[in-house]
Order: sequence, then structure tokens, then C-alpha cells
Amino acid sequence: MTLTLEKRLSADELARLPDLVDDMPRVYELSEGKLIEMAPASAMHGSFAAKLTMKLLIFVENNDLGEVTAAETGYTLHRDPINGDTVRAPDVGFIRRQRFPKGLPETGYVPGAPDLAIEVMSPYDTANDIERKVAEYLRFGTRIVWVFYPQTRSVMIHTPTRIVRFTQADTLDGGDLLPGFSMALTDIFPVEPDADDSASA
Amino acid sequence: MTTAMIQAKMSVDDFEALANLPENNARTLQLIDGEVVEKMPSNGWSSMLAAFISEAFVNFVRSGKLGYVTGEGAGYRVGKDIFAPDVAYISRARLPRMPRKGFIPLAPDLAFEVISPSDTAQEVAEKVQVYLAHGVIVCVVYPESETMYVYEPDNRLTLLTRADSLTLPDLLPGFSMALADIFPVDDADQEILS
Repeated sequence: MTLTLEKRLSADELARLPDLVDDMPRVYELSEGKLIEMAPASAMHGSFAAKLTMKLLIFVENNDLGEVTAAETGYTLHRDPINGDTVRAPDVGFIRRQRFPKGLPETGYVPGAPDLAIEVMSPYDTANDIERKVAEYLRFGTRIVWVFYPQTRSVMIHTPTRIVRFTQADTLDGGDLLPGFSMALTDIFPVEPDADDSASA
Repeated sequence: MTTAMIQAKMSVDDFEALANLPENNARTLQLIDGEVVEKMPSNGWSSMLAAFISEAFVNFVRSGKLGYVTGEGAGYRVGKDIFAPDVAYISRARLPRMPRKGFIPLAPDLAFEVISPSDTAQEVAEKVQVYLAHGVIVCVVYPESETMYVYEPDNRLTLLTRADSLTLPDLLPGFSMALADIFPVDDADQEILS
């Protein structure tokens, strides 16, 4: 799903893409200057991401911790004039208040990496792409990445120092980043679409 | 992933009969959640990495007469599925004799899955989940980023990079494989290794 371009793009050029090229209806990310196309999310993906956004947003607002961004919000993880910039758009992002005491910039992408990045896997996301994305988040300053796998009802929690795999029985917490936050995975994963081995009567 | 979901899920016995048909001789078929999934020939690079991994294990396992190491294509029964890991190890304690015919009727103790560009994140997550539920240590290898995720059934998960070594103190005490040995540095290095 990578568009082939001769030239590596900068974050600013990415932001101006819709003006530069006709018929640019899609959303793109930039990984070291290379365009990565993001197809519109599936119904299940979109509703799942919305639910996560809501749960996180309520907690963050109630505790005045910072900003939560919805899907397709660009973050300029890294500027690199030689190898190309990296702009990623997590399905849900969170930035601590301390980083932007006066609020997020009115134009352009969020400068820097989200403190928490949440990604929800779709059937077409490749293993390589998510592995690379998680590595970029962590390399450029993200403190926690949650990768949700709705199909297996599991979550991978990545921090710069450790990785943990949670399953349906577990409860996610926000660690030092979101003290007091907790989300039981049974609350968030959709009801099983088809009867599981254990569930079939 | 456009498999029609209407047909009934296939049993292991029916799958084995299908896989043993002469016309399927040259194919690597897997049974994943009741569906037949063909494993396509992997790219040369991934396969080369799998060979390096096998090399490290074959020497250790054979010299200690500890069990069996299989390469790409060997079918293992993992619960209701038949998986074909890229490299796997099964101890002699669990499998006294390697059968000459048919699939290995048990899950391996250790499985390596080397990621290909077409593997989806969900497929990998599902496979890992099934392996873990059946007590298998799973090592997922990403050739592009030169990393290895080691999933253990007790929910431990370790990320290894080029600077690390894989050790398996509970399963294969004394074994150690430096990741630098399985990820060639560059084209020149490949020639030296081959």
C-alpha cells in the first residue's frame, strides 16, 4: 500500500499534499520520507477506536492531564532533512499537558511524538508495518504504545523497556503516564462474532 | 483473506487426508481455525534466516540427543490446527520417535515464525495465541527490523535485537544463539556466511 515516489517528502510537504496533487482523498503517513497510504477504516475498526477514544478522553478531561487526539491526527515524530521526516497518525493519541501548557498548535501536525499511542489492528495491517510503527513511536519519545487486536482480543503493551501481552481477562492501566486509569478488556472487546470453542454449548 | 466463511470447519483427519492427496504433495498446507491455509514459498532472505536458526539448534539438539529440529514445512498438530512453523524443536521426552509419515501429532516445544511482507498482524497474533494456549514458546522474527519477539506461555514476552542472544534456560539449558549470527550484516557478509 505504499505509493511510489521518487522524492522523499518532508512533514510540511505532506501537510500540503492535497493542494499539490489532484485527487488526494486519502490519508497518508510518512515513514522516513516515504508515503504510507491509510485506507479508510472498517466499520469494526472505527467503532472500536471510537470507544477507546471516549474512555481515554473522559479520564484525561476529568483529571486535566492533557490532550487526546482522534484517528488521523498527524504527529511529526521526527524531522530529518537527509533521510526524510516521519509523520504518524495513531488511532488514538494522548499528549501530556506539560508539553503544550497553552494547548495544541492551531495549524499543522502535533510537533513530536504522542506520549501514548494507540493502534487498532485491521485485517489488512501487515505485521511488518505495525512492528515498524511501534519502533518509530518508541524511538522518537512515545512512552507507551497499546496495540489492540480485536480478533484475538489481545493487547500488546510496548514501552521503551518492556513489552507485555494482555488478554481479555486483564485490565489495562495507565502506569506513570495516566495514574489511576484502568480499563477492563472485557469492557472494550466486542462480543464474539462467532461462538468460540469454549463458548459453544 | 477473502475466504468464504460458509463452509463447515474442517477436522484434522479430513485435513490430513486432503494434504496426503498426490496433487498436494508439493504444497505446504496448514489448518488454521478449521480453514485450509496454504503457506506460499517464502522469499529467499526469510528462508536463509530460518536456515541460520536451524543451524544453531540442530548442532545443539543433536549433540545432546535432546529431541528433533524441523525446517520449513513440517506440520505440527497444535490443538485443532495444523501449523507449519519455519523452524521448530520438539523434545524427545514428548516425542520419543519422529514419525516417518504424516504430521507430528503434537505441538512443538518451540516454534519460529519468520515474518514475510504479506503476513498480516492479525494472522501472526492469532497464531501466537494458539501456540501459547498449547504451551509452545514462540519466536517471531522480523527480518526487516532485525528483531525477535519471544513469547512464553507464562505470558513473559521479550524483545531481542541484534545485540542480544536467545537463551532458553528452562527448555534447553546451556543453549545460546546470538542474533548477530542470524541477521547478516550486508551483502558482503552474506557471501562470507554462505
